[in-house]
Amino acid sequence: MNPLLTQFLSEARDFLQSIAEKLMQLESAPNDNEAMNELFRAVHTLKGNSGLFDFPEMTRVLHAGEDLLDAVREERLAYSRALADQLLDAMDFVGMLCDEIESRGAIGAQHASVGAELAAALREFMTSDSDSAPDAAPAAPADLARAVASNTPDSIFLAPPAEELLAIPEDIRRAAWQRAHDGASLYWLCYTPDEQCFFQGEDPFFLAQQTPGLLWGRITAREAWPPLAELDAYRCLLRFDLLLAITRAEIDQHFRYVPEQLTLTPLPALALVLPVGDGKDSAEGEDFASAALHQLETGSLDALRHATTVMLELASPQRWLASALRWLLLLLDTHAARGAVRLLLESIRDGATPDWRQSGTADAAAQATPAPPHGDPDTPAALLPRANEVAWEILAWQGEVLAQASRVAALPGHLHAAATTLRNCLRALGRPDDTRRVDEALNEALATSSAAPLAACLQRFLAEAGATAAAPVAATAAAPASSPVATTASDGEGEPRFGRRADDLLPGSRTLKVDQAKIDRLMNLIGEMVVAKNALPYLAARAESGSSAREMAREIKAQHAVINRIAEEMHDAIMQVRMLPVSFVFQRFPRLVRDISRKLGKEVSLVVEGEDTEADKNVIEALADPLVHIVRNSLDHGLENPQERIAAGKAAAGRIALTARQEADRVLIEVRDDGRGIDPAHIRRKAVEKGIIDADTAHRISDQEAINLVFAAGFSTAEQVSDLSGRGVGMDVVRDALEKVSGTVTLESEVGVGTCLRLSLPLSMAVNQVMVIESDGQAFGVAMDCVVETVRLPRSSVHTIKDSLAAVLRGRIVPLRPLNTLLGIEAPPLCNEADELAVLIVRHGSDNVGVIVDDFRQTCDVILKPLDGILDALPGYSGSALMGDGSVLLVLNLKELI
Amino acid sequence: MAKTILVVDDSATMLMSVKTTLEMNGFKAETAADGLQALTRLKGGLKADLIITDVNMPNMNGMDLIKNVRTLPGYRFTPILTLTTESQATKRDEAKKLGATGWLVKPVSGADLIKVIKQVLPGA
Repeated sequence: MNPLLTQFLSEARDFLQSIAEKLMQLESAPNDNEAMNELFRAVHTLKGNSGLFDFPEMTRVLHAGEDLLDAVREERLAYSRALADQLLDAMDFVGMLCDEIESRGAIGAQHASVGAELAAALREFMTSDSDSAPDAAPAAPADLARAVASNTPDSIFLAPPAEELLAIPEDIRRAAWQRAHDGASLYWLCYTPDEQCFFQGEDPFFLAQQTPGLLWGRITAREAWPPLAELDAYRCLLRFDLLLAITRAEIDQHFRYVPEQLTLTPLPALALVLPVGDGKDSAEGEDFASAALHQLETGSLDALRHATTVMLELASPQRWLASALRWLLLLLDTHAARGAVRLLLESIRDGATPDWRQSGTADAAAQATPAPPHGDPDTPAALLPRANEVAWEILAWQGEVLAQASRVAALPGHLHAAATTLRNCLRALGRPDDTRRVDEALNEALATSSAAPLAACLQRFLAEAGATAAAPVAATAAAPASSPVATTASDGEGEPRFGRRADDLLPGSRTLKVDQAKIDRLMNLIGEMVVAKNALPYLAARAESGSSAREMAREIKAQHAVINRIAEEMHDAIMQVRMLPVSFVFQRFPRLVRDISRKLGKEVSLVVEGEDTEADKNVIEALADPLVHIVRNSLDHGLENPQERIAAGKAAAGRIALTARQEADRVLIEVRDDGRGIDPAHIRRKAVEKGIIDADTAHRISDQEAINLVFAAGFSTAEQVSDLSGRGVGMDVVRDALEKVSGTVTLESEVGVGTCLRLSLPLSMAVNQVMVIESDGQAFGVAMDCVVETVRLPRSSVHTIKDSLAAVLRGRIVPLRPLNTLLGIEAPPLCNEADELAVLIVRHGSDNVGVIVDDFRQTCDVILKPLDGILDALPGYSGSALMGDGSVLLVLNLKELI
Repeated sequence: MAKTILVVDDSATMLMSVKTTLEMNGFKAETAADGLQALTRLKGGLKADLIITDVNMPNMNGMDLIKNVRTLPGYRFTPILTLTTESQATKRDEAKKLGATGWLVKPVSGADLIKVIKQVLPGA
């Protein structure tokens, strides 16, 4: 790409970021003229820059934005939230164009219409009467309101086309009819998740699956699947079509995060009355319908019902006629309007699909308003009708894969992958008990290096299912070969590839902006290094000319000191280069908080402090996702609605404070809200329900311990997610993510007062300082960041309490653990001449623990390499390091050992 | 000797674009990110034969820069071109009154830019 374009893109991202920031700033202080001017200038400059290239869509939108802001700046127009929304949308669009330019070098033609729309929307503000209060415009719910225009005559055009409804099995349509007859309202919901939704902590499948009142659903691809090599599994290209018996309020509640991704259509029950089957035109149907119509006219409904029953018995159940008759019977049984019955009969007579649009005139009470197709020509293959069927489908495919694999010697990785798939499917089918059989089969398969036992096991499941369920497996044989389910299932061989991460998708983070001064310092150090290096040939010459060994040693040591200092400074300097301010992560929160709080109808003020605190790039990046989850949790569960807050005597607007500060060699991040807090009693109850702890333990543990249970794996599970968290992101995921970068998270909460989460992360991760200790004649390393102090304790001051050892250190009892015991070494700990034990006091959670070792040695800086291969399974070691003398030092993972 | 041109713009992209054009045509280009920086450089001894400036910039805008440059010794007649996306006549007249030599509207093609420079810069 040409350098000017690269420069443009990098600068454009900065501008977009600053535009978003200024908009947030103006939200809280709309009269801030300076911010307004800066905002204007950013848009203005960006527009000017875009003119250098041929990006008409971008220029058009930016130009409209600039004109709009100019009007606001000159006070011809009032700043409003609606205006800010529109601008943010426009800037998102520009950002998207930037991404596209970066990846493809050009902008696709398909964006022209969106660009024009956005520009028009921006210009609308200027033409619309500026006297009317723009703030009064309703926010997010408007999106839904627009989608459901149920009382406008246009609504019939929103109804899904009959072909789509035909995808619903007849029995489900009949059940839906029954539900509608019982008073439920039916909706056809088309949910199109955002393509990037996986990076926003959303789980569309789960969300769709958990929809209350779900009668039927399917998942289709929005467009044809790309070839496997180009398939980006991290982009969500799915569309969910759901048939729901539900109220509007429930839908709004359930999809409160994503209202803009829904198209909701009220579905008249009659639209579901669509007979299916072969042989539409049949003489007997025509005869029957003519007679039946006559009976209907004369009002002899009983006779009609009787005739229908008889006819149904005669007709073969797969025929179209039989299907139509079943519907007819259902209509009669549920006392449907006469007009509807007549229409169905007429369609039986003509052998045509009933056209319910006419029935509105035929019988006003029928209220039937289906379905002219509205320009949706692609009929994507039905993929995932229901979780159960999907699971069976996967099993069936897995069976084929295994059948092929059993001909060759199977790799252990492949077998494990297959077994995991089976276990997950069984769990999804609600048969967790059967997973044990899979495990047995897996062991057998591993022992014989053959896939046959697994295949046999799978066949048994399929056979059992065939006996109990109505053979969904047979249906899957016809599934299209390109089905992604098939692809994932058959893709089990070899190592799974986890190369791609979120930051690969964020092109903005690839450049690292470094302060000039930091680079200069590095440059100076390199200069010093060159000079220091020159001293070595000089030393060699001295050695040749025969200086005394002692003198040589002294000079070498002096030179070592110089080089050592430079190396240390260089290390420090390069770490400085990698330092990023936490604002890199924090800056996305004003927008996130604003968007989510408005969707949830809550008022929230976000306070950010200490955003210039710096930490290593890796640490900062590792922080991003956990923080998003935490803040979303706070917004959703922590903070109450304005009404509840006022009732509780708090200010209507909730407050979330994000603070960062540096403490010694750690960065502390605090997320504090003043919401309702976490109720330990509620957590206890949930934990017992989930089987995480038993009832006795629940009574025994303290409130703080109970609250900490939210970090337990599996605490946030299906049923709970729908009522509490909504997205299936558990706190255990947050904790795990932080532990990966050796961070910790603690939680404090007081009911009614608020919740505070504290994250503590190391400043950098590249070089570790370890302390070398000795035990039974071997050297081990212990990471310095968990060492509190080293002490020598007289043997006499060690007490035995029950089976364990403890000592009193500065008035506090510290439990003692001999390292030899922890490592399973038989030898007893050694003492020095004064009969003292060497004790390493280490941090363990919030407590200190003493580890008895034989002796201490020096501390040193090492590059820690994780153990790999078969050693990877040893949890007691965090890695190995190469020492100066060429030996390998094993570094202990005391967290695991203790 | 190559003529020195000072380009003032708060957009690095714009600076890069103009600078490349100028250097390809045998000029020596110096850059500044805003009016204040430009003024400091000029006061610090940078000798510019021509100044091309944006109008809308932080710290000191193009209008103020023109006004200030005209008061510097030796810069009374130095040509100053504005290069901006604004095209309002009022702004244009204001700039003219303050002493701007010409008003170019972004985006301007390289050839056009050079043509204008050759018009206003004697001996180029």
